[in-house]
Amino acid sequence: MNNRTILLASAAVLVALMPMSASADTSDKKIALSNNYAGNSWRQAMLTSWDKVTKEAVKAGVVAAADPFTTAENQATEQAAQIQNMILEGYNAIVINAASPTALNGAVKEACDAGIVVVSFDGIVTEPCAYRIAVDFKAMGMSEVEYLAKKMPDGGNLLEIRGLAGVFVDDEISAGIHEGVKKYPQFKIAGSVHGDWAQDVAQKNVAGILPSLPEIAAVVTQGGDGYGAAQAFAAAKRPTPLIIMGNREDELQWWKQQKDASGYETMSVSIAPGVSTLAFWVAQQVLDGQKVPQDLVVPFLRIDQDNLEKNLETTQKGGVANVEYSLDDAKKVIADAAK
Amino acid sequence: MTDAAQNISVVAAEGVKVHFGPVKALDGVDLTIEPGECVGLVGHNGAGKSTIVNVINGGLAPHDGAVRYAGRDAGTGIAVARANGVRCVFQELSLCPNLTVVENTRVMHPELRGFGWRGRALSIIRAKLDEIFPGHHIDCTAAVEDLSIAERQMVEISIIFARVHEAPRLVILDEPTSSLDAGLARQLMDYVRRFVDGGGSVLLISHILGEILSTADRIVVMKDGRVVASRQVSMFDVGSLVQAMGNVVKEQARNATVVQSSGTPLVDLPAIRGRGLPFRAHKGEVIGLAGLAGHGQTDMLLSLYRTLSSDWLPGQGSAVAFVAGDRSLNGTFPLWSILNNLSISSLGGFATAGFVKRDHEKTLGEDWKKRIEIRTPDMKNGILSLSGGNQQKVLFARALSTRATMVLMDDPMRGVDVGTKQEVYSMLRAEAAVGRTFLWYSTEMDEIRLCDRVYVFRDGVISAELVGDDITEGRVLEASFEGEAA
Amino acid sequence: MSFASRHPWVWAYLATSIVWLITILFTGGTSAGGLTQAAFTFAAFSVIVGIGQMFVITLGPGNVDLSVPATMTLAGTLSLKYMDGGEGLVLAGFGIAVAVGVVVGIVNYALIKLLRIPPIIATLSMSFIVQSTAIWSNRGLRVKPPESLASFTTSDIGGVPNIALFAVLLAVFAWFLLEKSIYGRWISAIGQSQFAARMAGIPVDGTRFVTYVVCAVLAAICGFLFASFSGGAALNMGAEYLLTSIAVVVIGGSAVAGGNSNVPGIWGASLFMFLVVSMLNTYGFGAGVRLILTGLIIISVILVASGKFKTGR
Repeated sequence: MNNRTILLASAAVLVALMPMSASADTSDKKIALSNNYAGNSWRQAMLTSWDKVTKEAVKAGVVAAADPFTTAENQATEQAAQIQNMILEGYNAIVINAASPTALNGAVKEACDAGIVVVSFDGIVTEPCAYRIAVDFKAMGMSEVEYLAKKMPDGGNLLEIRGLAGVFVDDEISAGIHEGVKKYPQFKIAGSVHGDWAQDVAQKNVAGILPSLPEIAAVVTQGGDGYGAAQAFAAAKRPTPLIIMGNREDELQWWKQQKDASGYETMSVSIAPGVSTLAFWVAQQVLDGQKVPQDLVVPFLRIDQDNLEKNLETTQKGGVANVEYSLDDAKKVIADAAK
Repeated sequence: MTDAAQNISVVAAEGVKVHFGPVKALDGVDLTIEPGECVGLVGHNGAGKSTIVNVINGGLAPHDGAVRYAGRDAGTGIAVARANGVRCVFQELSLCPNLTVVENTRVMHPELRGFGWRGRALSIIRAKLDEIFPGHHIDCTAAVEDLSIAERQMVEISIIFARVHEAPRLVILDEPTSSLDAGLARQLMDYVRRFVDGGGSVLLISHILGEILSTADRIVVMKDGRVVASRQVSMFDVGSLVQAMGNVVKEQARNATVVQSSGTPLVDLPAIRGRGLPFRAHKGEVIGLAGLAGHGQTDMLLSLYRTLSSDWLPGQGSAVAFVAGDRSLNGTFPLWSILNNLSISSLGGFATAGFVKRDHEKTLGEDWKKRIEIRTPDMKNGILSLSGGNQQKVLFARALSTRATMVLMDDPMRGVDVGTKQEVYSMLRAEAAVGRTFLWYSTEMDEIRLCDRVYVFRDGVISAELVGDDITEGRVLEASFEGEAA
Repeated sequence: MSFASRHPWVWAYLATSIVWLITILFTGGTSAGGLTQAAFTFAAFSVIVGIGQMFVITLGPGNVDLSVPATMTLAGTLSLKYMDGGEGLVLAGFGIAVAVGVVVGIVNYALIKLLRIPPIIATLSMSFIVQSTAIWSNRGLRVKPPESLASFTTSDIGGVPNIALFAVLLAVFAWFLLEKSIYGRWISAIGQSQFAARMAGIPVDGTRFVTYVVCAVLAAICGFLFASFSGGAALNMGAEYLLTSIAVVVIGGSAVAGGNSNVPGIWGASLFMFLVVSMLNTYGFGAGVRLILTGLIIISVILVASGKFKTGR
């Protein structure tokens, strides 16, 4: 509480010192983050990025407040109640990572009707009045196969590691991968397991199916499961295939080791947790009166053989490769979408 | 009794016999209740009072003899009894706690149906409560669970006496005043007189002899499944009533020796709830806890056991052992073998580093199997393969095989055959002689007379202490029943 | 009485063998070795938590420890963070994991006893506290285990995974405890009738307390080993083990109502749980069908085991 008072006080001082601040229009606005889940490293990195960027923004007087809230139970009903609370507390904008694309629509509509700007990202909502910052997950899956096609023109057997069954993102990425395989018929999906985007689950399920699989040329993944797959191949004493990575630090570290030892080549792709900060800036732009299209697309973060070391340096140990977005990045994304 | 008289009897039981296995609960009982008569029924535990009540209200078919309602041979059964206006207030309260008073009235009187039954039931039950217990303050729309015990009993009595289509002709009241204070009991007894004077009949069971003597027209005394006396009330007083309940045959000579009860007592408890007498037990004593069933003996044993043994640390229980009377509640472990059931309390005696020595355990089992004749081909058989009496022997062996200095027994000899009983009695005396103390709650007079000292319980407190030759059935009964003269 | 009716765990082994055979048939038998080794590795983790849960379930109706996953996560997180890859700190890290288990166990039973709430509620509330502590303590960063610990947990002796050896030793010890010790008799007695156990001189509270602590400590050890095995603790690493720990007890033939448990069944059921998923993955069933089939297969194994168990009595 104390820290916060001090922060607010210093923000006030800063605002007083800088009467010419470029974003004076939103300096009295309050933005809230409604987050449905915090129980994995990606979500933790997302919250850390939010904290880092918004604290600076508040300090600089861009907005008056940017408070993050996370529900305890990952339930849509609970998150809907949380959003209703935010409406009552008088926030000017709400940034949402939603538990469900449709179940929150009622609460989101209420917020819009109260004149509140709603921006959803990662877990987006379908309510038309909200802004959506979506990742083209299908294209992400497709890009993995395209990369493989370039790398191994002769094709081969693929092992697909999927995410959490029943989640929209899992279906989208998988659909992209399957579309890619259709396009490049030299590849064949020899087996498919669910890794729940967790290294330990992926390791366990890959270990279970691996003895029954033929020679595997490559593993296509969804993020957070590549290292587990590598472990399972090593434990079964099988040659390590090309495993697409998902930007986790342990995955990049493993890749680096393999690269240094044997010139191992792969690529890594995922959505950066810092997308929360992009959502923050988009919300700020809307509050600022800028014209922003309802649907925006955020590029996914891809790491290749040549920029591996550079990315590894900036990635927190045990965390996720990340990009935090600036106001200019947001303006660029908005401009691209308007085209 | 003339034929004419029998024809108009509300109910007439003739030569009724009921037996549960080898136990004769009723051994040829004749009981007739006339219209406009209040019959008092008294007797000690197990005399057969509850059984004859069950036969009359149709819950139990007699194995021999007949029950006639209004002089007709219409068969037996609850429906027949009810059709003949027989209603019963049970000792255990039988209301549904989650329903309101009005709804409970409908449960008892299914003829309250159709549109507006609630209103009719409310006016009927309210009128009856006002009639029996004027000034009662009971809200008839409240759920029964929100009422006090006394209020529940008042409601139950009023429901039974209530008239919907037909008035009850015979109401059986089994300990109706057990939860009522003196004023309410007085109101009830006055109502019973008015009901009887109006032509109804009542069968009244109570351990408060004063109540019986002041309310009943005629008193029936039962003992060992027989009616031993049936006389007009004017021919009894408290003393003669107690005498009639006592042993009609000559009392067996007491064979217990008087043990020195001096020195520092092992247990020294103040009077329960500040009433009655304090409780003491010395080393090597056999102490009987007597009185009617359910008057606080078991509660005292349980609370004494809890104080003397630990819930947290092992080994603390070695001061005291317990023999259950209600086997399935707190005695046997149903999934286990006879041997495991027997050895559970004494495992510490033959274990190294917490691991049980199986051969020692087996020896213990064989030893006790011989000593108290547990009838089984193999001690590894399940405990439930044994008869009730043999299970009881296992529990007895469980307690005696410990090193406990004090053994608490919660009426453990029910269902044990006579031969084994004698063996257990002598084993008990031998154990007491070497310094073990026994606290023995028993409902059987023969067992009480084996004790060195006896505490008689009434209404949860100790009402009398008897020592040596004072331990007679008469003295125990006198202290168990409340009466003006007692 | 037939052998199967006296030993309800044979059904778990029978089911395991059938599933194993069907799975290796897919490759005509060539996958037998690899599959068996993988099964033993991953079943070992279920065995470790399953044994703890079995002791708790033996205590009778309503006794279950729902804080197992959170305890695994916290123990893995704290111990790996403390070691931070340092070789000399392996024992100290293990000590931290055990301490986490002891504390969770003590608080679990304190909640049950002092607040007089059912174990299911007490341990569930506890798991929220423990999970939040895990999140707060390391923000989900994956810290690598010391190299020696990682290679110990992932290597094998003559084809038998080290982890499986550890779980077998633990199971043998647990079997002795349950079948031969006074403590084993006590928990079985409490499971059949708490009142009768109290009146037979058993320190009921003391025994239940120790059991809840044992369960939490085993969960903590499992978390420590599992995090070392998979290259770091993840915040949701215990999630799978809530239902698994209960399922292996039930499929293994222990009575859900308490009082009657067995250790061999835990191993059989743990192998079974791993192999069922492997079999369905191998035959390429989609996620929906796979989940439904997993449920159906588990239900039928339990039905067969319990049905035969009853007729044998």
